[in-house]
Amino acid sequence: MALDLTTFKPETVGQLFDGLVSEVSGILGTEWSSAEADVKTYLDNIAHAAFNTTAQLAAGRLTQDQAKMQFKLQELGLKQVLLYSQLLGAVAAQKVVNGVFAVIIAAVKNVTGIDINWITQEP
Amino acid sequence: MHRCAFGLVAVLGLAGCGTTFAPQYDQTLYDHLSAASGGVHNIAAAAHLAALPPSTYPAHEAQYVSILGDLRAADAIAKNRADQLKDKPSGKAASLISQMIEGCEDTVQTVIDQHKSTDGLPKGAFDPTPSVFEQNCDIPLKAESKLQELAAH
Repeated sequence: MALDLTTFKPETVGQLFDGLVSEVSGILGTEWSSAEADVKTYLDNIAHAAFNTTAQLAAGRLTQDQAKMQFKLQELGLKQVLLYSQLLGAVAAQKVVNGVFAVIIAAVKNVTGIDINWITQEP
Repeated sequence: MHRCAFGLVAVLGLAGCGTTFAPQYDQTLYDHLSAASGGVHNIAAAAHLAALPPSTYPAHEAQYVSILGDLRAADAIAKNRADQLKDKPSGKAASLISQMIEGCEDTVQTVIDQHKSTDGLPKGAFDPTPSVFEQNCDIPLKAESKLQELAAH
């Protein structure tokens, strides 16, 4: 379910992380299940970084310019995670294809003696 | 029985041509990404030990150049692979890796700009490890390694 960004006010890293997961899983749709484990680690890291940057800026330990760089890195980080998640969808699909064809290739070889391993190679 | 099997071979031969969703792993591309990632971790480690004001930029410039050089070389390979596969199902995944490499380049450039600026990089700018800075450049490396895992199975 998409977040309502007009009312989203996370008070803990966990709430921010849950918000990120909700948003990303909504964008990815069916690709989310293949990406979930890896991507949660990356999103957790970004959520912690965003919280730390906000806290350090508020405490005067970062200048506005330094905080701007951190937020820019986090924005780029979210893009990286989305791209990576989409790639995992393709990798998962390829694993299914490889698995199914491995069974068929073995069956054909055992029945006919013909090795058709070449059909899964990229032309 | 054998006639059926030969029929199956013919069908699979046709179907098999369009069933590759991921591009082939590329060792040279991986090596460039690995070198770039190592350089990024080195910069992050330097900021862990001490603040990096703009006066320290010249001492680190060679490191940045090396990182960006490796990323450009990696992206040239990734783009070429994506171009070759653009009309195939695996073209999308090939293009995603190129975009991730560009995301790492943008990340490194953002850090360079801040390092050269008046405020520089504060001590611990990229703590704790792995920071988002490091993560952004580890992701394309991890993506290419996923292709290696596919090739191994």
